[in-house]
Amino acid sequence: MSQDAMPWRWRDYFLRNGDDFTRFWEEFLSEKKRDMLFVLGHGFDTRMCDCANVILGIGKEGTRDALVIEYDEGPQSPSQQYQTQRAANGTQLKLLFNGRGKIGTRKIQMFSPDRRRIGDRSIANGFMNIDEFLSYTDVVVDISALPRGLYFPLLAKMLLLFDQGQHDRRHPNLHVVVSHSTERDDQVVDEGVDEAATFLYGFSAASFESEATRDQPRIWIPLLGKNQRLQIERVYELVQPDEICPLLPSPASNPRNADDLVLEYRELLFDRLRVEPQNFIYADETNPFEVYRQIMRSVLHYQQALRPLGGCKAVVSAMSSKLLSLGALLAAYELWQWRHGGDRIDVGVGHVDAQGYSLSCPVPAATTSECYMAWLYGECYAPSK
Amino acid sequence: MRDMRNPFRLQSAESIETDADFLRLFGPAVLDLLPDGATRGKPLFIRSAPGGGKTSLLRLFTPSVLQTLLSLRTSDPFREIFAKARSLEVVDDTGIQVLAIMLTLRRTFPALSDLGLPDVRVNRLFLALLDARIVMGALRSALVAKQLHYPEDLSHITIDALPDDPPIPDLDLPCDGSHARAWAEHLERAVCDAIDSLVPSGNFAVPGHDCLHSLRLLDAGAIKVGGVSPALRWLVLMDDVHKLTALQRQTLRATLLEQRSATSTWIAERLEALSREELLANGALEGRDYGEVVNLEDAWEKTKRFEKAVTGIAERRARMASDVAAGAWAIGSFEASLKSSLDSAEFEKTLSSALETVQGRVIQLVATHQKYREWVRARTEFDGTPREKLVAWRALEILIERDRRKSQMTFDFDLPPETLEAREDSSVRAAADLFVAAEFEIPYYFGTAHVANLGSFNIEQYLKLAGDLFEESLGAALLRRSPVLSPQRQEKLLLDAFESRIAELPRRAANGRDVLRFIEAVGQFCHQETYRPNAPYSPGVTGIAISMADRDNLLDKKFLGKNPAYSRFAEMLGTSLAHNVFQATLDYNVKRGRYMVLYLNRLVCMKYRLPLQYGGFREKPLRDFVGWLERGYTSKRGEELPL
Repeated sequence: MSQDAMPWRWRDYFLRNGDDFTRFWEEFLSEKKRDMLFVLGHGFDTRMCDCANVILGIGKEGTRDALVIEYDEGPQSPSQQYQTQRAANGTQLKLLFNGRGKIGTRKIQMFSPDRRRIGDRSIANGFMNIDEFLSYTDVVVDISALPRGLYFPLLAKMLLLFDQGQHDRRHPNLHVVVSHSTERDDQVVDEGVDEAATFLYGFSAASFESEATRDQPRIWIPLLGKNQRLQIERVYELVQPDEICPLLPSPASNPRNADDLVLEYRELLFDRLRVEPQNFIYADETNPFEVYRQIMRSVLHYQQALRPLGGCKAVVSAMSSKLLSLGALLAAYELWQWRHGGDRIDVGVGHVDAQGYSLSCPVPAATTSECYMAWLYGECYAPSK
Repeated sequence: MRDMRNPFRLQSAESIETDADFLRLFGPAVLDLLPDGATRGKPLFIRSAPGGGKTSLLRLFTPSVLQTLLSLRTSDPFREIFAKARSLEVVDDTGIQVLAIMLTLRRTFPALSDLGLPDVRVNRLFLALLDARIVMGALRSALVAKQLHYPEDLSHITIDALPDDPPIPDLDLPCDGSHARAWAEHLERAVCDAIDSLVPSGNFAVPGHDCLHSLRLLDAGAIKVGGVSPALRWLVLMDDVHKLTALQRQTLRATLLEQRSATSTWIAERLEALSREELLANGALEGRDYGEVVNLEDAWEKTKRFEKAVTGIAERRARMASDVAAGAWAIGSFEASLKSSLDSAEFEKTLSSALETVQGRVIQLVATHQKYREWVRARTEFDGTPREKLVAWRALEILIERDRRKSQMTFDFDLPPETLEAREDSSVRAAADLFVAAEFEIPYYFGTAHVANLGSFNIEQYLKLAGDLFEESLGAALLRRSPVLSPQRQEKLLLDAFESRIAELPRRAANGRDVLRFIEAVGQFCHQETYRPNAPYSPGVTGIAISMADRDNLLDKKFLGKNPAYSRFAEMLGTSLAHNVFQATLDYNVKRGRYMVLYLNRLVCMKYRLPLQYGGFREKPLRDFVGWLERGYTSKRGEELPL
């Protein structure tokens, strides 16, 4: 599978942040009337409404509806201590959309009756049809307050629905936005990390684990972030990779970030997981499409090199910021889609959930968050006539 | 194998790349925990907390590992493993006698329950997928056993028709190996595709199975290589069974029971899988039909072989490090890198000073209690190392205190030395050893024996601790210093290991904060009870107990539903048991009744300066412990030694 022969769906991409984020939406919403649906999670993260606040603040014509994903992590979840903040976020959301459009909710069942995690399957199965989006010109998915275990399958499902409905002229644009702050991310600590990792629904979870292809080499690309040692161990136990290619954020606002991560995980990476130093890959801390490219390049390279062994299976794990994790999602989705034509790569997203989260610093010192937007589907990707 | 700087960091069986390296690192003592006839007949349930060594145990029996063992059987360190494997009748000098198929059940099966299908349908698909994987595993194992290649040599395999009904759905017998593989792969693919589909169609082509047809094939000896059965018997090894849903585990047990297969099945599961009910009820399955249960931690404790087993494992790993290093890097023995004695010039002054202090206290006491003069005289004649003398005098102090507490009403006759001898048993000396270590800040938790005890019968826990110690030795060797760790340094490293492990509990485990809170309460309580001047529970208290009646309340859903504080406690206890924070012993008889005893993990004991022996525990009503979880433990003043 030659890299040059691949379409690479997001080789050319659209990404805006900060002032450019605001400028883009000002111009975009000024072009014509746009009916927008915001899909966002209801959580305690104070960044929950940042992006909606900017976009709605621009005004302009068109519907502005919201679909709020409600998820309950359980009464024992450490997140329960932040109910006040969560309620405040809900109030802020209502105020933002007041008079602009409707606010709908979708409750996601996070656990089965026997306490297995099913949030990934629930959220994906909560959207069965593109019809519910066709009355909008733009769907904006805000992942700022959505756990990774939910927004990965959500976006995978939405991309699939949009792809399946691509011949319908009404199909909307799909944007993903996130309020990103490295400092704030560092303050959010996972608690009660699940004993075992799983493959997220919506990729090749079951196929990855098949007995028939168990001899195929397994490549694991974990995107590294701070305080994820336990998660790395757990996903490693799940994947049992033959080759590990950790992805480090570099360049980064802290130029020593990559070094600090290697130091933090030195013993784990080199003594226990036996990572080869030459296997590290790097991507810009603020560009998920760079992550996407690096992952695609790496997986396709291994697929080519291991063709005599029947190719390889690939696992990506996003243990980094939500912004970078988007790149992992896009790569996993595109590689998984290729399983229906030509060569096939079984791709899994190795993930481990937590009972909840706590904040090492409850009140953010100052808002250093910045809104990012990635345009994934729609007008800017239409083939030129 | 790639160079391994610190082989102790290889903690899971899966991460050891080659079979030869796996065997080199494998500690054979675990094989002694298996019951007689383990590879024949009834299912065997192997349970432990995470890191207990279940997967390593299963992996040993896989054909590729046994083939490697056969080829290396005449050399060290493989000789011992081969001898034990032969005594289990899985190999002999001619080859593999029991052919194993290893499956890990955490893969794919649990997701079947999320397809939105009725339970009956899910069960059928579960058995069908299990059949597909067992058949593929059998084909692979059969070829490996005959040193053929999978899948290239599948044409060498034939599968005979089954002697009885029902036929296997969609598999026409007799057939060759390739045909069987295609059948199994198709079945597996259909199930996996349905699970993975983001747009479920509701149409499901796979009919499912009513029983494990694969076991029927194995029982009938239908699988042949070159026309001959590849081994005497088959053994199906199922790992990670705890990952199945409760319904699937029930279906598996019921199917095995109903089919009464001649093929032995080993079922390895973590304690966490057991429901709270099963954990608190010790998951009893023994009996005529179900087969035996081996709880690895319990088995290690009962057989008293854990220390020897892990010491052997440690030596193998240390040798492996020295195999890949030389000169200053090479540390060939783990035991040799740990100083195990305080009898050195370094501690002479401390021990002498401590001895003087203790002797002074005793003599002062005896000045007003003449009846102990003979005891003191006998003790003065005691000869030993400075530490032995110190412990002996401290033991005397404890015994005097004990006697004083119970003899207020007796006459003050001199007690003869024989009474001292009679009352001074090993538990008193152990308490004395602990007390002097705490009082005079003398290292206590050091040496290979104590490190083994701190493993708390869990191999992974032991390897982590040993790995930290070995890492320190490696660093010292690199800096051209002695790699032998002093007792103080060992104790410091072990305490650091505890702190980092315990600090992670809220992250590692659901209800982790509650577990932490309760450990703190129990630790403080045990410390107070241990350090009483008369050491009534010598060598110390390292556990708590509740009555079996109280234990029953923790299993009573109605009771828990009405009492949220008890429900919270029950959840916390379930997590604690699953993660080996506590070890439970049921139906412990003492004169006041039957109790469930909960011993602290030995690593926790170290934090609260408790002894590492088992034995001493204090029972209390359940409501007291529930209160500790809610409000913490309040220590009583006055009774504890001022340390």
